[in-house]
Amino acid sequence: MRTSKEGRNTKAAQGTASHTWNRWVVETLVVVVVIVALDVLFSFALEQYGSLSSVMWSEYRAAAGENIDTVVVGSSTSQRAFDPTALDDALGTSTFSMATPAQPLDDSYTAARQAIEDHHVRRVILGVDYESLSNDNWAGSHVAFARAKMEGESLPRASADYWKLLVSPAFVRRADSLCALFPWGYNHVKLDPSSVVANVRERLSGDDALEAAKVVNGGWTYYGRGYGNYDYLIDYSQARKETSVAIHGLSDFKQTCLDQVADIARLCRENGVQLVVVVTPRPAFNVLVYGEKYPEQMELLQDVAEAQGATFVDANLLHADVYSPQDADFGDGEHLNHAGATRFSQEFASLLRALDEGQDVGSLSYSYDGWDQYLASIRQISAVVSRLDVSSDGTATVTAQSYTGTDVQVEYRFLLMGEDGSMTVLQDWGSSDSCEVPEGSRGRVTVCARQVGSTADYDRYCMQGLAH
Amino acid sequence: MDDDLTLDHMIELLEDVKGNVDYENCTTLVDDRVLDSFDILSIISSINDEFDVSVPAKDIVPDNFNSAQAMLEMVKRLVDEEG
Amino acid sequence: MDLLSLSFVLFLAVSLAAYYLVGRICRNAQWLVLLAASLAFYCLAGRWQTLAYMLACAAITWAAPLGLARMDAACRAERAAAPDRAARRAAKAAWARRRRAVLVASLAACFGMLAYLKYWNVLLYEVGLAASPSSLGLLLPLGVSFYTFQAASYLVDAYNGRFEPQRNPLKHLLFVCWFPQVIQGPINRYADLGPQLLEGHSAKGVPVRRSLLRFGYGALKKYAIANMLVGTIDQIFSNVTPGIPGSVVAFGILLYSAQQYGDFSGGIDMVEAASSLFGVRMAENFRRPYFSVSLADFWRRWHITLGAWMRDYVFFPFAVSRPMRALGARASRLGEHLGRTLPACVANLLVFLIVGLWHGAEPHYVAWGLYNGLVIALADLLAPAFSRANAALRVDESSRAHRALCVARTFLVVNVGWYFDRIYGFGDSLLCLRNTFTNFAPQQFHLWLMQAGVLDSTLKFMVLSAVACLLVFAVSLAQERGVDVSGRILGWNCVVRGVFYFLVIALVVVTSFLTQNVAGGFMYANF
Repeated sequence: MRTSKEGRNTKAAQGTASHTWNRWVVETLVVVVVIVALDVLFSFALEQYGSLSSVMWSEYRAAAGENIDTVVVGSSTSQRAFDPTALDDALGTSTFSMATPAQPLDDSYTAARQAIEDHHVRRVILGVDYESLSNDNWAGSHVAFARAKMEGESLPRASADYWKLLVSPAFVRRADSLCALFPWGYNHVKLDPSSVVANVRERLSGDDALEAAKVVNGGWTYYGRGYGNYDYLIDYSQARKETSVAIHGLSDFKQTCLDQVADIARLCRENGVQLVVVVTPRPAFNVLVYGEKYPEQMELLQDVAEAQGATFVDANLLHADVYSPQDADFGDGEHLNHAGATRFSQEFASLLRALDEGQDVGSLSYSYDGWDQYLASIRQISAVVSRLDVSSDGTATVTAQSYTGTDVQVEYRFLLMGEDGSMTVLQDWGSSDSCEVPEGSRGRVTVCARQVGSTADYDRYCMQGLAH
Repeated sequence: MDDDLTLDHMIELLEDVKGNVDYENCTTLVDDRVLDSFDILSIISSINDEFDVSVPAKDIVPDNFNSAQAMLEMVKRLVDEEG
Repeated sequence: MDLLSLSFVLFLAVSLAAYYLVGRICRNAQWLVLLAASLAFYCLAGRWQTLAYMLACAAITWAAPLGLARMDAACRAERAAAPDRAARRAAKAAWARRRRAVLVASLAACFGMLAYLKYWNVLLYEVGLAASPSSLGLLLPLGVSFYTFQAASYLVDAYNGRFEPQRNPLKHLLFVCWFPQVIQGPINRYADLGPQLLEGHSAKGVPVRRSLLRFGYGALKKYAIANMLVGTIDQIFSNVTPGIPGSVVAFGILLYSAQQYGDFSGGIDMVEAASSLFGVRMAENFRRPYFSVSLADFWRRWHITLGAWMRDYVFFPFAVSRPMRALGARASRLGEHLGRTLPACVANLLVFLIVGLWHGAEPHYVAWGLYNGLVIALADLLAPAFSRANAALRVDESSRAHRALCVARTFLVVNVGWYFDRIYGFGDSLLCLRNTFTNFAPQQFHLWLMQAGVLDSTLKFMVLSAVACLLVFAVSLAQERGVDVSGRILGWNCVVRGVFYFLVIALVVVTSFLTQNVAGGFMYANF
């Protein structure tokens, strides 16, 4: 039998236990609240205000009442290749670009589905490049895309969207699935005080996302319908640094990426929407740099797209009479500039018209099976690059490599540019692609390349720094 | 022989292997890492010399080496088993 | 699956809920939840195709001890029926031989599987019969080295009669496949872990906050230190040329010592934390190894469970074996100290040869193992000389300064060892070692790193790792002094705690983002 004293003790003990428990709960709550508050504060200060994703989504929402029958999806190469106005002027369509920088294919899917739901579009243009399929680590752009989409949504919808991101195959098994709860870690401004202050000021200024984007992205112009571009010009002498292989490395296409293309194609087919998968244009050197990998891997993509009933076009393989880019069309090794995009979009519109008229557009371009024909079709030197080899006895040799067609005959000239600006010819025009650098030379070697028979100073050139 | 099997003798043996340890009172020689495995082997080798008994690998467990007393008991048991 | 990921958190949440819910209904069945969770984890995190290897290992190590127990009974019966003492002795000896045969056969089966999966292809490649070290396409099961060693320790302990062997095969399987240990250890002992897995626990009394703190501490080490540095280390050591400046090599090795510790001990912290949420405390695997005063001490603080395994199942049995005792007896004629330490030194060399092989069959791992074994053996053989020298120089061996000096010396010795561990090619290891002393060339440091492809931004971001290292150093120093760091932090005002946690999380978030292109998985996962 329990005495009353024992009873009191037990009660007191229970009291202490529940007191401890309450304290534990309150403390934990405070800790969580502090963490969340700081997270919100950091997001406010660090998360890029005026990202191109938020421009796209805010402009898309603003166009809710308008007619949209065609959408462009894909990453920056797609964003900067298709000018909706140029397409619409030629075709009488109503196009909106939902492409965003480094847009992963599952986000392209999300965008396409949204447009199909909202506008019953009849055509989706998916612009891709090699890296869209060989690279699936785009956590930062995933977060930026999802956050931008959430901005105009109700809280439950936004939470559901973000949860979907966290449990998506790209995230769920990786640290990103937890770390993305702190989104400022994924799409932040430069981590120096002035950039942070500028970001906060922009956020507080009352500018909308579009105005902010113009401030943030110097040189970027918005042309409407989700499309904006730059007017940069590529510097072909920097080709070595501009190739995608130099930037991203070279790997095979990921099966997950191919599956995602198939998903988009299936989505379109099931909704009676025409899907055109387009490999966007780039300078020839940035196609040639992949070597045989390019046709081998791209053919996989073509097969996946066509198996699901989509149309596949590689803009780089189009016959010259259909489309052939000019030197000045490119902003860099991967992107068209605005003028280039307008020209490409005009030419591409004719192809779409042909497609609408039921023509077989496959005959308009070279095929991956006939890769040699494509190689032979290149009539100019797209770029020349060089490398420096120093042998064990200290002899330095500069070797040039031209990216050009198989039928083009190239000759080289090697010049030494001294540190004082003087210029000496090390090796005059000739077919040899390498040149020994005299011992003790300082400065840079300029490698000039031109087609045999030309009298130009050069078709293309590049510079090679010397090791000292 | 049995006269030799005393705690004092065991402690003397231990001090010979490794000095500056309170063998009389310490009961966590292994657990507190006072003795490392090289010391243990030295002790086993000394036991072999002094008491003419070999310690098999299966008896090299912390419980048998945590104190002088434990080692003494182990040696007594081994002597009994061999006898 | 990363340990720091939503999928692992969800997996833990579901398993914990099921575990404690089942515990309320029927405590005796709780272990079944652990088994189900462990098998599920093995399929989720590893390759389900390799599950069979683990099941086979568990089956062998379950059946053999039961067989041994039967043989014991048979032996007793035969001895009881024996007419005289000679017959009893003969029966005992005969049964002992049979017991030993069973032990050897089952160990051979377990280690044979391990050797086949881990070394066969490399061996063929080294002798020129395979195109590459992975050309056979053998799938290395997740944690194969860890569960094999753990199961083998169970087998030997059971053979030595340390405990009653487990009759229930599923309970034994749980011991072998317990999911927090299966990725990268620690190598647990049945006597410690077995009962904990089977006894059942209630959610009350589980140190949730301490576990979460430890999980976070592990994540900090893994992401802010290890993952941040691994790329640079790769770039440095995949470009070893005769002209590599010693300054670059030393830098790479120092980064490696931080990366290696962060990766392995950080991962261990995370799995220890996960295990303790179930009320199961696994063996500790690290005790602030960089505070060791000697290389032998280092190996008692680094990968502790592997060291203990080697000590109990290789070092002692070998050192007290008859040939080694004979060697000791012969050596003692040359000196008492030599006689006592020589068998230990030889056994020690054998242990480190195996430790080297455990990491991989490549020659540089073997060199690394032997280096460790040799240094420890020499230190021990020369111990009397050192003491005499210290006495002659009036060095106060108990002073703080002496201790600090020993810690610094050990750190150097350990780092020389990393040359052989990390630089994949024995010749390259020697070359780097030579250049460290003969061609330090600090003026070439920056240029050379640029040429190896290390970006300036990468070097700049290493500040984040440095901050994390400082934090780990401060925590370790306090722990060395006996401070309960978790307890202290949990005693802070909760707002301060919130801010502190946020800052640590921020460090992990930023570094995890910076390193997202690094291939996931722990360095030790395939060992």
